[in-house]
Amino acid sequence: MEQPIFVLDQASFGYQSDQPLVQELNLLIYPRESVVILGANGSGKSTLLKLISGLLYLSRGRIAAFGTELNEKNLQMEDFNRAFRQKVGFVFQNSDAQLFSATVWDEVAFGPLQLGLNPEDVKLRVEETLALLGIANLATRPPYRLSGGEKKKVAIACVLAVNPEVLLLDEPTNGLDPRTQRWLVELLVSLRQAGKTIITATHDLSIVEEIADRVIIFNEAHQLAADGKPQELLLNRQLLLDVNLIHERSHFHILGQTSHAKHL
Amino acid sequence: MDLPTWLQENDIGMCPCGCMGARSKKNFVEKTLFELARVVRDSIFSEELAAKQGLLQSLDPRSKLIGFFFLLLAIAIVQNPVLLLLAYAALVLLALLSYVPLGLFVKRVWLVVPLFTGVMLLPALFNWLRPGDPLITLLNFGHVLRVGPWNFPATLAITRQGVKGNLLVMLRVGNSVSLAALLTLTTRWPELLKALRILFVPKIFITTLEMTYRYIFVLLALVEDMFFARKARMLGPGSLQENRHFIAASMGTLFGKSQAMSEEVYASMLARGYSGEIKTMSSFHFKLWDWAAVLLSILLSLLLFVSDKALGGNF
Repeated sequence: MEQPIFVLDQASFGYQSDQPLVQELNLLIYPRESVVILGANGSGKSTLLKLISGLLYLSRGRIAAFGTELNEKNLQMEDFNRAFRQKVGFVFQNSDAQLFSATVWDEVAFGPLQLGLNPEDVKLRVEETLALLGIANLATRPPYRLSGGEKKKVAIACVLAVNPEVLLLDEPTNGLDPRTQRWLVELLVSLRQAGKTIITATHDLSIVEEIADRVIIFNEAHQLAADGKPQELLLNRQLLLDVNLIHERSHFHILGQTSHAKHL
Repeated sequence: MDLPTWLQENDIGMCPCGCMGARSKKNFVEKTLFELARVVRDSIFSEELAAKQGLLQSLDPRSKLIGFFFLLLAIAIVQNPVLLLLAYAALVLLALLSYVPLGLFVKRVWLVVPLFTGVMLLPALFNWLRPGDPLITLLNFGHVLRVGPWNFPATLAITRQGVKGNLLVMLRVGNSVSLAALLTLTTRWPELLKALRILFVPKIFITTLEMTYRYIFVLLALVEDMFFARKARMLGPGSLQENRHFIAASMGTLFGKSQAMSEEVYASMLARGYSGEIKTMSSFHFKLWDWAAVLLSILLSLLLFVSDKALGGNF
């Protein structure tokens, strides 16, 4: 059987020991999987993504990526750091935090430059990425003159420009209009078909069945509540209610069916 | 959900008597909002001006920087006011060829220079500070004035040397500021910062400046939101104390938010491969035209210098 990309073994994390944000999590993520992490606000989805991307380090337990332990010491190793950052791309929830360069062009060039591509290749890479996402016209714009949807596209472009194996997305559809949401779903589907591993944290149930082949659900105690196929988990209304992801009277469409509230 | 009764009371329409009340004065919330909008408007305006297809816009920012550096040196050395006036005329011509609105170009410089430089130079006009040939006598005391250990001449006058000197400094400052204005108005800010590399400014300073400039707008948007929220909930002008509290609270919020933001920005830099040393790349191209412009500005600077030596500082 194929080796998992990420191995989490009894992984816990919290800024204060009595308030864990991720608690004793065991998880394996395999190459080419498309995983959606579901959970109510504050259930630890974003924290998990930051742990997987080596931005935060565990308080207890073990986490390994590509067969190497993911800890502060290893990430200080130049070669491992470069290889890991190239392989794992992170699209942040707040695009403003991600777009720190003076122009869109510089922003997209940042990743490839840090990873040591030569200037000619960087130029070509940036232009191709901008064209792929249909934002070539924004190249010279400063980020403060972009709309929310445009910012998200640029943020995704910056990450795609280094051709990561694994794509981590934190609430990618937040604040996007339906048209841009649709565009994003289609992009994620193509990336999945191209063999990328995609891990998305969201509470937008309407996109889950299209982008996921595996769903992980967190409860409000920051523990894993379920791990399975989207079809099974999304139709399990009681489960979604238990983790406080939906309200008794929420209804949403899935697999051509509508999940309705029980008649009161 | 059970709403409390006060939330269920409805009163559509304004005050039944139809009165509008007295007009309240614009308070600091409105003024701040207006100023915030102005900052953004100005920056968009400069951005557009820098994107026009004018003479100076067509130059590589680095060649502009070098060329202007030499011209700045020449202007600082030149003693002859006629040459300085000619130089200013040339700058105005450059501004016109670069689609810089003349009104803005002249106002930006000449409203500021007399105010700051003029005030500083004012004392040098008088013979009490700098002896010289009187041009206009203002006061005549008839005898030498003794104030403590100081002796002042019997007359207070504006001297010819004072006027000449002040005029010269004003012209120099005006020319220098105009040069700087031309440079900043016709170059996009991020490109100008990048061009500073050629003057050996370290990369980390430039990147930090770039990011600072970038986040000014994020924080401006935040301040704007806070002030709009305040304006929407304000029923009257509010007491001074209330306003002070609001300002203090918004400063605190802004500080907290900018710190949280800086952490997130750093995380996103790390995620994209930043490892302590920033790597940048500029897409500048030094064309033949840029070399010509640098050469031309060096020649002009020399010409200014040589003709100044030939003509001398007299007028």
